[in-house]
Amino acid sequence: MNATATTAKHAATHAPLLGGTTPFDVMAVRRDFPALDQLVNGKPLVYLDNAATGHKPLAVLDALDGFYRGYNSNVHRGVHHLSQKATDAFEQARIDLARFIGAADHHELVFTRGTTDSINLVAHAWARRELRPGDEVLITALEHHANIVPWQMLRDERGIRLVVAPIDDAGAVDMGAFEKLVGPRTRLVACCHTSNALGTVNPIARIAEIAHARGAKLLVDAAQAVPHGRVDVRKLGADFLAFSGHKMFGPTGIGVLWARRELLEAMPPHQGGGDMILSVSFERSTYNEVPYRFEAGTPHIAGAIGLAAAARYMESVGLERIATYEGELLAYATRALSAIPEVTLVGTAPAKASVLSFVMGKGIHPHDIGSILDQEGIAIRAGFHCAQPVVERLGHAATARASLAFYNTRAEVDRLVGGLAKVLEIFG
Amino acid sequence: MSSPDPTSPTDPSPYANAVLLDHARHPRGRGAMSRATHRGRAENVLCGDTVDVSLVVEDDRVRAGAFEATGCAIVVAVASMLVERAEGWTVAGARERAAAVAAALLDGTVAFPEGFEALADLRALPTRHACALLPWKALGRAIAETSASEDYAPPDASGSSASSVL
Repeated sequence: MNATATTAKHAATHAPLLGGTTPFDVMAVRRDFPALDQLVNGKPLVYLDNAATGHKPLAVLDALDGFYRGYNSNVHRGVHHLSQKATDAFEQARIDLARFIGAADHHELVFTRGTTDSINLVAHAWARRELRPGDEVLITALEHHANIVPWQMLRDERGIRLVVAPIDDAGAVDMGAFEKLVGPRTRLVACCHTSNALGTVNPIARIAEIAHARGAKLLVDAAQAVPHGRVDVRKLGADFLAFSGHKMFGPTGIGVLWARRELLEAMPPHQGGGDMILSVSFERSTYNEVPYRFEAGTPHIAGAIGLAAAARYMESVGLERIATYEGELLAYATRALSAIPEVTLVGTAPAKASVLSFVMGKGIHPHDIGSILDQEGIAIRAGFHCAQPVVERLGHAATARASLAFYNTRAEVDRLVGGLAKVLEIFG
Repeated sequence: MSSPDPTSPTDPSPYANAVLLDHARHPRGRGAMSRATHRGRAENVLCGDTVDVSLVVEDDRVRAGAFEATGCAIVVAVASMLVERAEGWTVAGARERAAAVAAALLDGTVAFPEGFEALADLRALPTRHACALLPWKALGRAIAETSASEDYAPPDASGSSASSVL
């Protein structure tokens, strides 16, 4: 079955879900995700580690399998039938994903290995050329290491200044302080749409206004945003936007950098090789047009096709319905965890995605929480979540983190609460 | 249900092991030791857990031990068991026991040193092996030869993730 027919089949399964008044049928959604149906340590899996990676629906698995089984070939340069099919599917994936994020032009969408790769691409191909020593990159204290380290490397290499906007004790960006920190030398504001460690959702449109008013560009790390609802690059006002496939129920090893066309046109390539060139001689090579200029070598063709299938699947379920369902589930889970006296939620900003970071009791270590929950079949994450600065800023060395997707249920939240009771039995 | 479950539901849990729990809840030898002749620190960079082991070593034998730790229950429990048992060990004997613990975690046919049998319940949790080995690494650094480059590292038979943090 080809990719589009598979998605149509799955869309048909969910057709009764479309329309404002039909309740969200989470059990129907769960049937689309085969990995959810298994035992761990003898108990039904409760997968609450979605901020680390999401499971894959049949539509994605079928798209991957269909490509490799049916029309696997290299793209762009072939003259035979299968290579044309592969090229068409790969470029259709680009078009589908551009639509998914509200981009005007699919030439603005570069396939990368993921969010980290996308941010590094901006650092190397845009910032390294555009920024002078003393220019500033402004990030927030919420950032994942992927949106900290590339700028530190640029600072060490090129003498740019890295400025950090503070957060308050609830884990929200201090917008007053942020505004003051956007100054005449600020060339780039780089911030997450949604914090992976705390779930905080940033006011991106407002951040974009402030950045643009001062002549700075805005890079948005949307890795934790795209799994939870609609992300529209034009409404957000982003100049660059990065996300990963595997966090939005697509394959690993594939991601996207979206950037305004005029920015991409002015950027030299960051990697040299095949596909990113128009012609090659030993004297000189001419570079390809955008976005191919930034896609050296054979891409993760199956990955792109699978990622587009994930996007179409989410659209068939309904991006607004996903966001609404998760909002209700987050409220339920927040109430449930807040009702346990020994649990302290970490990250309590007014605007949040369905991520719950917490600590327990007098120094019950998150790794012990994680292992005890694991023995109950419950998967959470413990540590500083590749966001050491924000976890330490809120006064902890580590937290336990449960992160929910639109296939998680209230019953699973109840299992988590039961698991935490077991933790307290052992350590309370 | 689909897919066979590779972990047995009857694997013993370290959190149900009375000895480990006792040491985790009531650690022995926790605190500073100003008269220590040897000190060693080990850190798990992946999670920030840190163990400091302090020893009084005289005539090649451990006379007393203490530890400080920030970390999970397994780190604290094993550090407590270690400093409680270490009295009387020769320096070479301490190194042998550390190597034996590392080997025994990975190989069910290898016995744990006397007094550390409770660690057998950690065999089924490979992600926590680094925790159990962290106090041993700190011990190894405490009794290392004076050259800083001779860092003691327990042998890692499998090249598993345990080695990347040690």
